[in-house]
Amino acid sequence: MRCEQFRELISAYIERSIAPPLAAKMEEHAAGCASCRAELEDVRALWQMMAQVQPVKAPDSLHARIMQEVYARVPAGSPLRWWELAWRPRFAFAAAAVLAILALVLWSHNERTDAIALSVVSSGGSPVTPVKTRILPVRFEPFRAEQGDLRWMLKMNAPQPTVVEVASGTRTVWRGLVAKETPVVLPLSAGASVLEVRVSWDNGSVLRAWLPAEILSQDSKPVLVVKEKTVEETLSRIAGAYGVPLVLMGETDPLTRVSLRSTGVALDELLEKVAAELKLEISRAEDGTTVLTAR
Amino acid sequence: MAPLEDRQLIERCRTGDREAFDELVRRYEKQAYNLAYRLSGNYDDASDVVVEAFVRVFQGLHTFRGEANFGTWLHRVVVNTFLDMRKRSKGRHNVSLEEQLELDGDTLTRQIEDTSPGPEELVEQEEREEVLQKAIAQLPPERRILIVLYHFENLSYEEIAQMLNLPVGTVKSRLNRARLALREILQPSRELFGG
Repeated sequence: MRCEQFRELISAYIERSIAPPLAAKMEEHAAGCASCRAELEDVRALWQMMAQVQPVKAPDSLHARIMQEVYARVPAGSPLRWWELAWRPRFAFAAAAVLAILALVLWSHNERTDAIALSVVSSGGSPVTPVKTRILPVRFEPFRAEQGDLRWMLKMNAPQPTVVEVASGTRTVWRGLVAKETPVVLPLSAGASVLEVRVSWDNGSVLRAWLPAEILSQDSKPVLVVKEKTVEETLSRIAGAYGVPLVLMGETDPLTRVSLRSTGVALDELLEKVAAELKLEISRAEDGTTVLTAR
Repeated sequence: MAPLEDRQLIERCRTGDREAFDELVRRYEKQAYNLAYRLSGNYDDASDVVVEAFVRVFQGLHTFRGEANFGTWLHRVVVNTFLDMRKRSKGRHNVSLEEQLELDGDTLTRQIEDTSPGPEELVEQEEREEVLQKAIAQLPPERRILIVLYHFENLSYEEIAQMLNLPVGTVKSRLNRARLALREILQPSRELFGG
């Protein structure tokens, strides 16, 4: 063994991460080479020394300095905007009613004006008469794939973190804190009956909104199951973790191909993670859409 | 009430809740300061790096995607802040960041005796740490970062590889070279380390 090779392996030797025959060769070399032997001993001692180093104490003034600088350089929150007003409970029902109107509008954009009916109910279950208003704390956005499949995304606004629960039938499919412009992909799977959104305020008020089963059933299709999870479930979980809105569009039956678009950040990184997790091939279309295909 | 998880705190911070951010800073400022100190090599620069890093954290919380824990993400922010500030201040703070070792003469001993008249062993330990810190500050930033993340922040090779976007094997081999370089710098004070 040459000295150069010995030096390359010093750390691995100290960590005992090299094969015994190679370690034996190193010991043989060290026995006859004072320079390499000293280097090995020094690095080992240095390693131990670094393990004993104590943390330094942060200055007492550090916290105040950090907060002061943050306050000075990051402007405080802007005044309430119209959708934030909507989030206050007294506006809630009026706001919720807009869901129906909006859904109709969005649906008509998709040339499917015949079957939509979004119900909005109070916590008591009584339908609320739609009120025309611009206030919009929660909205559904439908997306349709080229071949007619449909998925939904929910966008929510809240001036303060608010617990929101999204259920498909009796199954809770998403639950979390909603802040400003929080998007949630709705992971609808085959057999989904009613998509229901329950929004709870601190004072106990509850808003519920749902998409009736007859609408959902038109677009529910078997989905690709990977590791006993559906693509939608996995994507939704990952999207939730990243805080990135995703648009899912299934194209075949069973779903073997998922196109994704995102308005969020770091999409490439997210998609690579998705592809790796689901063992899907990743490709990008000319229009910027990323396509994940089952192998 | 049970303390909030980091994730919950971050959600609140994203809505502009400054109390939540205050709490988040309290949880991590010491850790961030230690990292910044090891990287920058002196207390003043460490404070500057940490303050700037937390401003960036506050501004960039919406980009934190939760695939890593907050501490790991903060590590990355501190490292990047250190590199950016170093770039900006190159020349201006060259002395403090790249301070030359004063290994011979009485300077070091006198400093330690002045500030810490404790038991002899403690003095030796402090002296070793100071010499070590100055030696680390002499490493090029790329090597310094690796040494600090692995030996002081106790990150694994895999975590460092992920953070720096390098293959694990590259991290290992570069760390080996960084250790050898550090040993080389410390040669004149070899007796302090018992090597």
